[in-house]
Amino acid sequence: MLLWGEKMDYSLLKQKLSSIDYKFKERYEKIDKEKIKNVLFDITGNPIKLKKLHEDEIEKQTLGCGIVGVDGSINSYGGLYPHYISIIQALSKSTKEKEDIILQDVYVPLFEEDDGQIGDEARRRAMMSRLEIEAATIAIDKFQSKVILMDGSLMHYSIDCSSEWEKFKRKAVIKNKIIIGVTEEVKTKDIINIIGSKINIGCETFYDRDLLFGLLNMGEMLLLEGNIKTKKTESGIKSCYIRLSEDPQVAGLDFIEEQYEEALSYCDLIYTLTPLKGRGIPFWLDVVDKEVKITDDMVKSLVESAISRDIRERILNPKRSKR
Amino acid sequence: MKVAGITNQQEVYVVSDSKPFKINQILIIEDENLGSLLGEVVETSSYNKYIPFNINGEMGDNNVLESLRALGYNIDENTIYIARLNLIVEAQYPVTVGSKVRYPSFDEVKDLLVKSSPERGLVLGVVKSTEELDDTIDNKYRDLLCLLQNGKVKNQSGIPFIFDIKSMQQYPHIGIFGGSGSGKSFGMRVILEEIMKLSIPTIVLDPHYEMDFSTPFDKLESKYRTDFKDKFKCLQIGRHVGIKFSNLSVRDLSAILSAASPGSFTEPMMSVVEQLHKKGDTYYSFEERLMILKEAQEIGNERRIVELLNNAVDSVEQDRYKRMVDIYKKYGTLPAQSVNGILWRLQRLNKEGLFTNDIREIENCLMQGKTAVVQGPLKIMNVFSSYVITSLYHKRRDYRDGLQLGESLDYFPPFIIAFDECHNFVPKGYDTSAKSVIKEIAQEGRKYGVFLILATQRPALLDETVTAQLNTKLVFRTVRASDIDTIKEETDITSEEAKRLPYLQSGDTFISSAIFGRTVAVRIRMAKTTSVHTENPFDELLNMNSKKYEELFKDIKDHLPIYPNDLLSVLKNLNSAGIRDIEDLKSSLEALVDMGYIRKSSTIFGQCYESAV
Ligand SMILES: Nc1ncnc2c1ncn2[C@@H]1O[C@H](COP(=O)(O)OP(=O)(O)OP(=O)(O)O)[C@@H](O)[C@H]1O
Ligand SMILES: [Mg+2]
Repeated sequence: MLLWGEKMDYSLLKQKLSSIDYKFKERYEKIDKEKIKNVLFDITGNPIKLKKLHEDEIEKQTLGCGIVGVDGSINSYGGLYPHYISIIQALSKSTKEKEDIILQDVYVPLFEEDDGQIGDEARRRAMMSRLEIEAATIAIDKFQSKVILMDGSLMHYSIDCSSEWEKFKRKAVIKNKIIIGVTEEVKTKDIINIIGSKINIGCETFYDRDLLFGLLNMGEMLLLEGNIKTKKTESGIKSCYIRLSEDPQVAGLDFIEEQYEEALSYCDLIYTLTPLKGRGIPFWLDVVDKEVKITDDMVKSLVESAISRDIRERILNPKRSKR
Repeated sequence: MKVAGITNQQEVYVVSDSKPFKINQILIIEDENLGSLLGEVVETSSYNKYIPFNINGEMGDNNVLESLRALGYNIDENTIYIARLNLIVEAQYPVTVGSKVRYPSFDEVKDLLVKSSPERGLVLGVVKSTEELDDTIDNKYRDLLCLLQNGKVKNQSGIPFIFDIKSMQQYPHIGIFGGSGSGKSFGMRVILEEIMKLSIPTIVLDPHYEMDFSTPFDKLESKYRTDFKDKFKCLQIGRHVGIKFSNLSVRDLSAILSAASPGSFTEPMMSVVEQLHKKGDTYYSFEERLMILKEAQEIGNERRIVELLNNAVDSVEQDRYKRMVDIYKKYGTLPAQSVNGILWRLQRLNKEGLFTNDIREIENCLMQGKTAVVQGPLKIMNVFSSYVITSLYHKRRDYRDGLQLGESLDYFPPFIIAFDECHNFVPKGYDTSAKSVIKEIAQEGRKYGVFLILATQRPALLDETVTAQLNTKLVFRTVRASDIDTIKEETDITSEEAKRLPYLQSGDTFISSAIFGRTVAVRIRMAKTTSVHTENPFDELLNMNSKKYEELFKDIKDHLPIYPNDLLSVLKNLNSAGIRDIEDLKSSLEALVDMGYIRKSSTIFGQCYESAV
């Protein structure tokens, strides 16, 4: 045990970390950018160059109706599973319309099936996905905008709440509102599955993002054309990879299959709306993200003003604040 | 406007997406459960969550903002304004988050902000940040005053601050604190104007010769002016008022003598006064004793004085020499130089009338409900003030006590004593001639209707018992930390307000008063009159100079052109008394060239000054 005044010794930790650094280097050295380019572009075709639009072009393409961003947030109050409650929000926000669409719900694990933490998290997530889909559905009806950007992959909606997702998809197609999912951190292994064997890289330890890192120049987009089959294409979702800012990490865009061709024409707009220095997603989604988040202080005062003290102390009392 | 964030019983945050908040603004919170609550803005800020501090990071990309604008979204509209509000009265439980907030109407804050009527109280200025109430304010409180802002006169906007002078009976005495140029004298002037309006007897001790009310503020429209000529009198110590010599203590007398010629008053002179002055001395008895001593010291020794005594022709002379012997025996060893010094100083003061006049003029003023402005140098003022305040206070006290005992003494009215630089009169830590009586009035004056208005730059140096008795304090801009500390201790000014003290504009003040029970931020109104010497000293220099050269030019005009050979004769013929010699004349001519009155040209006779036109 350390006594007061003694200095903690970090040298062992430092050693361990440097050896990890070494291991990483070793592993990622295997990735040969040029080789990947050759193999990959052979299958997908060369990347497409995007361009920044002028203001009048933007107006023209959006028909003067602006665009919509959709995002959700989860904030929790209390202790560890299942002794907490979550406040869930979803927001549809138009650049043009004054009124936002905001939906709210509360998730209480103690009122749900007791099937462990993993089931709980999935359920909670699903609740948020449903709320987001609902907010987006209302946006289809209420807002004039032609394009709806959703924060994150479209894939998880079809997993989290497939029936709601299917309904939403049909509506979007009928009403011809273009739905685009923007993923900041691509988590797929689709590309690795396709070309991994050809470049001698096993799929167990690598992700698409590792291969795509630095592969695209800024403003370039890579389509997975035609016959390439992935988990997504099986769910009726088409996707592409895109580098929107100076950050060498790529983002992913998801589209509804039926809208694929038309949706691609909005990629220039998405590129235009992304700050060069930012984290590589359209700024409007940043705005929506900030707006939909509730501060911890707010959560605390909301919960504490509505849930009586004895219940809070008995069931929800956050251990943290007692420390 | 809405309540947001975390609230409690004393404090809430209010946000607005359209209008910024003003500090000290009063707002009304409509709480579903608690009803209408009054709060005062104590801190303001604005915030745009999309424009973060690191402009090069997340967004800084102006192109993107332009593109968003093309999509119909203006990021600037996302600025929100945030205010921290202190509730005027603590709520029973925390304010409901989300409660609506609105501006009050006049009726809703009248009780809070208006404590007296314009006819009865002192109309000192406007309560800050009450402009929103202009529409609903009662006519009676409209257009009572003008404000002076950056040299421009403005009409009243907001609720007038009216000091309820009647409550001084319960909460006596006013203190005016603030650094140099913060607006103390200006504020004092406004207070005194209002006091004159109400014909309250007042004596002002004015060591700066600035409290003259005969010159109207020329920028002020005539309908707002008041003629105070019949309401006050300037009285100079020595010329109009003086001290009864027999009332002086040794200490007072030394103080006066040293004040009469600052710097040259020596230790030995002090002991001359201490030894020679007797209780109950009149001016003449004291002067005679000094004169005899001086004569004796000139004679030089006791033996010769005794000789003179023996040769005295009559009893008068005999008497004189007898006393001379006595005095010489007792005091002969005092340094002759110092004795001399005391004597001529004393005689000079007497010639100036200090000991021949009395304070009747002041008493008359008070009896007539006027303001007596007593002027004189600070040091004499100190002694004089102790004298005059003591006698006036005793007059009033005797009258009141007499009433109680059923005796009928001459009426003497209640009155106010006002003065600047009060830390010189009642300093912390040492005694002055005026200190004890002012302290007594601070503590007891209320009973007799005698009140103080004290101003100082240095509250930290003011006697604490007096500070504690000042129930109303006007705190102007203050920068010095020790003074801010004193102010924090002695008023209910909050630490937020204290933080603002160094940044207040001249004329803005926090009025912390037991009468109000809370601190009110006030802009002091424009004075109706002006001090004669508020002219900027640099303007004054400029005016002086240009006048001087104008006259010189008039004088010199007829002599133009002037060749080097002419200088001497020109000098002789000049009427201008200011030019002393050839050198002076040359440099003055050069100055005239600089100012364009004349010009210089080279001729075969040398440099020649000739007419510019
Ligand atoms: N209420 C006011 N409205 C407009 N101007 C003001 C006000 N009060 C003060 N000023 C301006 O500030 C100047 C300085 O004020 P003032 O002479 O009262 O300072 P002070 O506090 O007495 O300073 P000092 O301690 O040096 O005597 C004034 O000449 C005037 O121009
Ligand atoms: Mg002053």
